[in-house]
Amino acid sequence: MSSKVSRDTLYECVNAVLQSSKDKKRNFLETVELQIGLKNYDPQKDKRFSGTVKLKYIPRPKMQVCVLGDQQHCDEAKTLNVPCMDAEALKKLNKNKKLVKKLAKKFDAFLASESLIKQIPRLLGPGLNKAGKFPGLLSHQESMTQKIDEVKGTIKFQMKKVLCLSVAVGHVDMTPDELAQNVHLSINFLVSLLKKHWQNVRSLHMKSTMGPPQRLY
Amino acid sequence: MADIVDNEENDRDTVEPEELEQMFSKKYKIVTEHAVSLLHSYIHRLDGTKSLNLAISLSDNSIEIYKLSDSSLHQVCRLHGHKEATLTQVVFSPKEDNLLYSTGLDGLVKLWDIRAGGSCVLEYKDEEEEILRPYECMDVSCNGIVLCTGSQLVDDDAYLVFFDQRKPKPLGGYWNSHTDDVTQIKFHPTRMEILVSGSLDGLINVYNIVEETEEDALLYSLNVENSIDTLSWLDGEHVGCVTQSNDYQLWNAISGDIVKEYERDKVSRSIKRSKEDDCYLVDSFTSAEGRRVLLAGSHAGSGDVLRSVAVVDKKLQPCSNFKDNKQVVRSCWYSAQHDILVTSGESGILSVWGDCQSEPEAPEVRKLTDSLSKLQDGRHKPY
Repeated sequence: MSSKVSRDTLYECVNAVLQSSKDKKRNFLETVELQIGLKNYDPQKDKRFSGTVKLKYIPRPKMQVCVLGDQQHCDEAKTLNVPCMDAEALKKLNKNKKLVKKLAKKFDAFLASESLIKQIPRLLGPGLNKAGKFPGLLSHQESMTQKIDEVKGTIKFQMKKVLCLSVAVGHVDMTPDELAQNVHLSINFLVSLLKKHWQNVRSLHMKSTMGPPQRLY
Repeated sequence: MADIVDNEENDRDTVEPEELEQMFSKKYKIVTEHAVSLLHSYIHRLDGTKSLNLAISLSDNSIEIYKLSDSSLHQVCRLHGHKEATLTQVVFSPKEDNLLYSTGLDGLVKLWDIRAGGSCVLEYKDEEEEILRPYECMDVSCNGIVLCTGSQLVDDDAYLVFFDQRKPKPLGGYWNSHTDDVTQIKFHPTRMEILVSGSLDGLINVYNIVEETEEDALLYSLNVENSIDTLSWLDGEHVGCVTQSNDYQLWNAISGDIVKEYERDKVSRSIKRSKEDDCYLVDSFTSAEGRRVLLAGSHAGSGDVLRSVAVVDKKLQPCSNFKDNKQVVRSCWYSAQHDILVTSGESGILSVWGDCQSEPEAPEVRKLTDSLSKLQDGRHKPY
């Protein structure tokens, strides 16, 4: 077990990122991203990879999730004050491309009940697919608020032709602890996906949208 | 919170060797093996036919064809077609064992006749010259007539392009149901109209391609919620999906329901290895005994750990331990008819695995052919 990023370095970087955004306030909530440089990696031969990781603290708090629910889920959503639609409401869109597009634009993500998710292509056509917002499954066995937080906390990352990748891991209104935990989790997950793990990592930086980068590794 | 550490623990077996031997009770041994290249080429993809023709695509953009007969591999021909661009897939025509299709990032599909040294018979190309669609994958319908390719994301659209096998120009395409590179296209094994596609966007789409528009063709979108690496039909209904994060999902593509998800740690435990981070998944297939089998291995060391597990009552049960494996495996191809598994991978080795019980005299055959081919072929890698 050799230490790669010490607790102290991590907090130093986290604090520096947060401080620089406080020093120069922007008119929007800055995102904090993690940048990973790779080495010993041949994009021609080695597998490209992309995927998702679920973070503990929600990096995009303003995200709006809409529930496409059966009766039970819609009732639950209404009491929780979560936007929802039932099958009837979806049918009314009549596969109209403009209306489906509008719906997709209005929300950042969707969840659908088991009985409804299979009907989505029949009811709406590929509109939600095209927007990259095809719903995730919401079952009756799990809590709706927990599932919504899970959706909000899920980030995507992708390594394509270049030897680096970046992921949004948080925002500047987070506490140092929250941000540090998200960075910790993201690094461990990404390293687990690299074939040679730390031997594939050239560098790790974190930065806020407008701030200077801080080197973690 | 602790430091971020490098977990240097070595991946190891979680059970004793004797127990391992007992657990992984279905025994396979190497029937024959061939080192394709000494130039550090990976074998990316692999396909085979009923008559045991095998095609492999190499990381140097060449295709090699082998024939498996009398327990040994004979090279049929070597093909070069996709210059500069990366060759992404090779697939045999399900109807004619001598016809092979290849596709690549140059946006071309080529049809090869592997007889008489191998030649390109037809080149399929998109009509719009100005837009290049790099193809990541392709497949041929069970009747051998329809070809479908899956493209990378081009100007915010990811395409499925259809061709009639007899014509070089496309029939049409879909571009509204995926939002990222299409990494897998798989036609139904017996119904020519059913097709599944998988993408980095995390969706498996099920289509009925007889319908006139994409809107009507799209039957289900199955949300995997993770980028898709490999899809395989296991029977007339079930599709096995390996994600790029090394998780496995089993879906019923005809009813649109998920059967079960197996995360990486679960697969790692089921192949009796200690370190989840080193576990990788190859592909799944239906064995001669009718079991759904998932092939998985470990990146640790030289990458020689390769095992399979069967999905029984939604649980993963040990199946086979491929003891003499020498490489990290990228692709596999299984013939239920012969109970033969072919694997290929990152050391450029093509390995043929046969059932231990059925051919007791095979070891001698192997030694003979090995030494013979060493004499004849200076390129043969001596292990």
